[in-house]
Amino acid sequence: MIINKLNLLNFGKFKDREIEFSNGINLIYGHNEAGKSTMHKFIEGMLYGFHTSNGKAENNWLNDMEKFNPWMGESYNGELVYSQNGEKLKIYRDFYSNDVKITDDSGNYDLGERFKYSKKYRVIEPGKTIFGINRRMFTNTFSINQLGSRTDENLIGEVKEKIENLAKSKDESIKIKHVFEDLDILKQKMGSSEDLGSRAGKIIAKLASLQEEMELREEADGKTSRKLMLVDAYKKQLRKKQREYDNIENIVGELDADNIKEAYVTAWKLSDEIEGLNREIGSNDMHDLNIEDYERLIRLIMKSEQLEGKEKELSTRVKALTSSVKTLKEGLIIGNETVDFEKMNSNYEILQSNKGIEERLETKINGINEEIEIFENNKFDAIIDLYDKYYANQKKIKYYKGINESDIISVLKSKIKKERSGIITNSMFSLLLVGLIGVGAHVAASYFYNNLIYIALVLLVVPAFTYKDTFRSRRIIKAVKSEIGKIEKENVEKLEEQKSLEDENRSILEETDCSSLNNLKAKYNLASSEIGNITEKKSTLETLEEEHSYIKRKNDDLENQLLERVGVFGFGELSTENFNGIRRRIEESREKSGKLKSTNLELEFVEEELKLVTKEKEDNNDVVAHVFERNGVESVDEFKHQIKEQRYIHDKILLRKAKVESLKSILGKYTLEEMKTKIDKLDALFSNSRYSGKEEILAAHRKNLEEIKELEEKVKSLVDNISLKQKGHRKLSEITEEIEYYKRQKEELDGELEIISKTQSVIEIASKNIQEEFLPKFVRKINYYFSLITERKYNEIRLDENLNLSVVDPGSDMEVFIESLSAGTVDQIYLSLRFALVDIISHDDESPVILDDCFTQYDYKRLESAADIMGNMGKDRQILLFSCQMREKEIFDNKEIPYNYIEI
Amino acid sequence: MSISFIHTADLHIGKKFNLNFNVGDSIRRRIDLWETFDKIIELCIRNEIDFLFIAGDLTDGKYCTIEDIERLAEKFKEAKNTKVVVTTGNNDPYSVNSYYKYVDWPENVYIVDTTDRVKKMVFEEDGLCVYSIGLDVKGVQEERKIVNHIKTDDDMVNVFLAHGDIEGNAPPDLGIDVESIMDRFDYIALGHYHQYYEHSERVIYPGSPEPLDFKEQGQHGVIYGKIDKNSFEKVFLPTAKSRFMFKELYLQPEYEHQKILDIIKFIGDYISVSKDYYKVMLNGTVNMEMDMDKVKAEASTYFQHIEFVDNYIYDIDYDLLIEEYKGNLIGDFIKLIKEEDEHINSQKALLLGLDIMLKEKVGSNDY
Repeated sequence: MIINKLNLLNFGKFKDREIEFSNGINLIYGHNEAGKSTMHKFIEGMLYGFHTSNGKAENNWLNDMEKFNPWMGESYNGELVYSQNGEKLKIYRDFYSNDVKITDDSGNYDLGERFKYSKKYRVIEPGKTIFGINRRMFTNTFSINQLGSRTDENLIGEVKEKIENLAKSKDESIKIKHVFEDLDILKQKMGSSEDLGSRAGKIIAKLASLQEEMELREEADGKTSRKLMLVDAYKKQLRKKQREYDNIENIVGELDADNIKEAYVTAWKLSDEIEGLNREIGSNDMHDLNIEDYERLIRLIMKSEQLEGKEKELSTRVKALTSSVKTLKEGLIIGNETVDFEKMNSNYEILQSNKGIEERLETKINGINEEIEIFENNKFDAIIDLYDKYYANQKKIKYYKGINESDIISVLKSKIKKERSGIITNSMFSLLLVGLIGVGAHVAASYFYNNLIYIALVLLVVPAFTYKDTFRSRRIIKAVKSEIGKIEKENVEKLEEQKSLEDENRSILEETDCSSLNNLKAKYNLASSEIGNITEKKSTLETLEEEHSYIKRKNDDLENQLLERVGVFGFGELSTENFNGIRRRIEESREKSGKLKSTNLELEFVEEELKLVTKEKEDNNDVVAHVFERNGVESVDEFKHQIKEQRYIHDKILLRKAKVESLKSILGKYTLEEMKTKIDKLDALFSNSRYSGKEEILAAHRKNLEEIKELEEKVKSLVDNISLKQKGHRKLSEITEEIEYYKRQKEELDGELEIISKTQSVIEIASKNIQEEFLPKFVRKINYYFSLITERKYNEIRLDENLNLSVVDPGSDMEVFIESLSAGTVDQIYLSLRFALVDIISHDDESPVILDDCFTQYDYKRLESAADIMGNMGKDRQILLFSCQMREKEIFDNKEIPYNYIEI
Repeated sequence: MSISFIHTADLHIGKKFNLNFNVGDSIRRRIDLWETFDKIIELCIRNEIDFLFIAGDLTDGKYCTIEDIERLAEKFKEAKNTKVVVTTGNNDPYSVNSYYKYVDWPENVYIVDTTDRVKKMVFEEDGLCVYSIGLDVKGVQEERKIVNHIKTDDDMVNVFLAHGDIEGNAPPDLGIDVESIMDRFDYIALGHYHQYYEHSERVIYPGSPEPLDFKEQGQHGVIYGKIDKNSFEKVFLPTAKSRFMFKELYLQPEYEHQKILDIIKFIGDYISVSKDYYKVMLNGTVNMEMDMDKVKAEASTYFQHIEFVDNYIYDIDYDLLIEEYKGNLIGDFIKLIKEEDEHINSQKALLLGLDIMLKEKVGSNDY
């Protein structure tokens, strides 16, 4: 591929700058800042574009984009024309939009589809298609930079390095040595156990110290463990001692058993005796006969016998008494018991006296009756009546006489007279008044008015009044006149009455044989007193009669009563003889009755007594039976026998009781068995223990206690010691965790180291592959160019496995190492190397090599030699040589090396 | 009157942590364990609890010092009205080396000191009976099978206290045949599983009151119960100071540094991140230029504790890189790496290689 033309339409400082390149050498001259680098960069930009790369440390690509941003104008573009395989093509690129157009030279045919398009950067990278390499390779390969070193020594080093770089990485710019060095440094930083400054070293050192601490700790723990075991052992020992102590304590506690040994012997003896007694007493012991019961029984039986006798006697008496009662009862009058003879007798006497009173009363009554009869015959009542009649008549007569003698009629007549005179007076007065008024009225009327009607009216009123008075008086007169007539008629009748009355009174006097009223009055007084007398007598009589009938009734009752009573005794009437008879009989009966009563009483008493005795006997028998039962015997004899036996056992029991008591006091709080156990225990304890005596055991007791205390103290001090020891160290957990932490760190570091190692190894592999595959081819190519450059002065360059470069001297066929070669030869080698590389990388042998100020550092001689190389190279290959010096031009001209000169 | 109790287990006082803790973290966490223990004692005192049942693993065996045990004893003494019944577990076996043997426990503490037979503790005045068998270091404890023969008193409230496994997962010496004894007891207080688990209403694992590692997530606390012959009530009281949280995150290659940082930052709330322990698994793919170490370091400043599990890979376009670096060592190197597994270590090696080689590649840009 050959670049024919550059057209910097708008790029950096350039605007519409066109540069044409020829085949072979193109010397582009420009002073510093003329734009050589811009032009160089333009070629790169046209072929690969500017873009940000994903690769690290390559961010300045973006800067390239900005760096060449045109100083003026809106567009940022350019054109490049190149020819390849006899074809001319034109690349147009807009750097703003990254638009790339590839056409034929005329610009008419778009040939863009032939070119690779970067999906990622979305740009066409024509360089990739043209050279089959990426931008990086392009710049690394086709751009050859100056060899920086001025001194030979440095030059050799530089070349050696570049060779090495190329040999190992196909890229002279990759400082392969440094890559490995860097990785080594990284590794070293991660470090190793040897390097204490490294991370790993630090970790390892820390781990070591921790391990040490851990060991100390573990040792302490081990000690602790051993101590704990010791403590455990002590504790076990302590427990054992404790048990032993308890044992001894037990024995000590039992030591008093020694004292009871003697007591035990006595007690045992006693117990034995008691046992013997028990046997003897045996089951009798069960039937505890009561001697008191026996005595009581005897008493009871005696009493029973007594009571039986008494009972018999009493029942005999009852029989006798019963028969005598019977006899007595037969001799008694029925109802005798109720007769009260004395009362009956006194009643009889009362009856006798009452009969006397009755007779006397009868006599009296008869006398009074006779008197009354006499009185009734005297007719005193009639005189009284007549007198009364006479007296009343007399009074009436007197009244009539008075009436006749009074003058009522004359009084009435005077009254009539008076009334008649009154009528005349009135009439006279009225007439006068009428006249007066009439005159007055007429005078008045004629004087004032001529009205006569008023006069007439006044004249009429006066006669009216007068007439009224006159009419009343006439009516009175008429009434009085009729009165007079009536009175006169009555007077006649009364006179006749008076006369009949007077007649009657006279006949009364006659009838009474009285001459006068006085006489009659005397008779009347006598009669009045007689009547009073007889009334008194009559009331006496009544009283007497009442009394009499009462007494009589009473007497009759009494008599009947008495008759009935005496009738009982067989008498029909009342008489003193009969009463005497009755009295005798009653006295006789009463005597018998009294006897019966006493007998009955006695009988009752005896019977009661009998009953009591019987009861007592029965009770007594019950008691006896009970006593028998209680004592389990059936007869007194049996009882007696048994009592005898019992008495014997009783004595034994008493004996036993005494013995038991004494045993008890000997035993105290223990039983015999306990005592025995205790003694046995003590014996056993002693026989089992190594102690034989009391003193010995007490000493052991003390010793044990001391030992226990000692052990306890030991345990305590050990535990305290452990605690203290533990406090002296860091916690196991902390140490362990720290170890683990650093182990983790170490692991992490190892991980990182692994990554580094991996990186290293992969790079090594890749590098080795390069050495194996690329290096031989590369060396061949170098040789080719080298021989070309040196015109067969040296025929071979060798690279050994250590990449030591040597040149074989054809004359001596000796290897000459680069260090012994001249600077010129080294340059030749370097350039050969570069061209060889271009050859290997590019597909053709004409593609341009860009030498950008490569020889600035060269002296003239070296430059001449380089010009020779270029002259040789330029025969086939396009060379773009950028320079700021004119030396190249001079040399080319001198040496007549053809070149295309371009000045910018 | 019913009996009140607190049932706990697996405190692991003095525990050595198997976590990605640094030494300071562990020390602080051990202090947390003490504080939780103190809290439980405080609960007992405040609520006048009759019984504190500790079903094993009160301490972490050999990592626990005598001093620790003495401190426990002192603390138990404070709850003098609470009867503390402690049985032993696989981490604090009642062996020769058990410090439990060498400390003077206060009167209210009852250590189950039998490992070869069931210890019966009768609390006559409470009407409660505790049966328990401790663990020792013998390995297989055939004796544990004798729990099947326990005879209980029907007039008492019967509690079985043990450290072990009832599901048959653990070694046989830890096994407890709970089914055969269940109906004999009013309550079975278990320990060994660090998560709260109710086998049945009255057969309970309270779990560790303070979680001990990332396997122990969720709530942690103790059982507070009231029991008598006729009734049973219980409640789970959370006691844990901190929780262990495990989170997974899925990253995308387009996530920027800040975005990844935010995602990590917001996995827990403001309070949680300041007291809980976080473990974050980073999954997915990140941009190959992402400096994950930096992201993690920055994220860590927001957390009381956070650790990462790297399960992510870098988003690496090998083909592009190969094309980019074709022809020289770098390209060959990439090719070789690509042939290996797409593993984070390979990727890291690639990135490291690229890093170093490009750094040592001079002159490519010094125009």
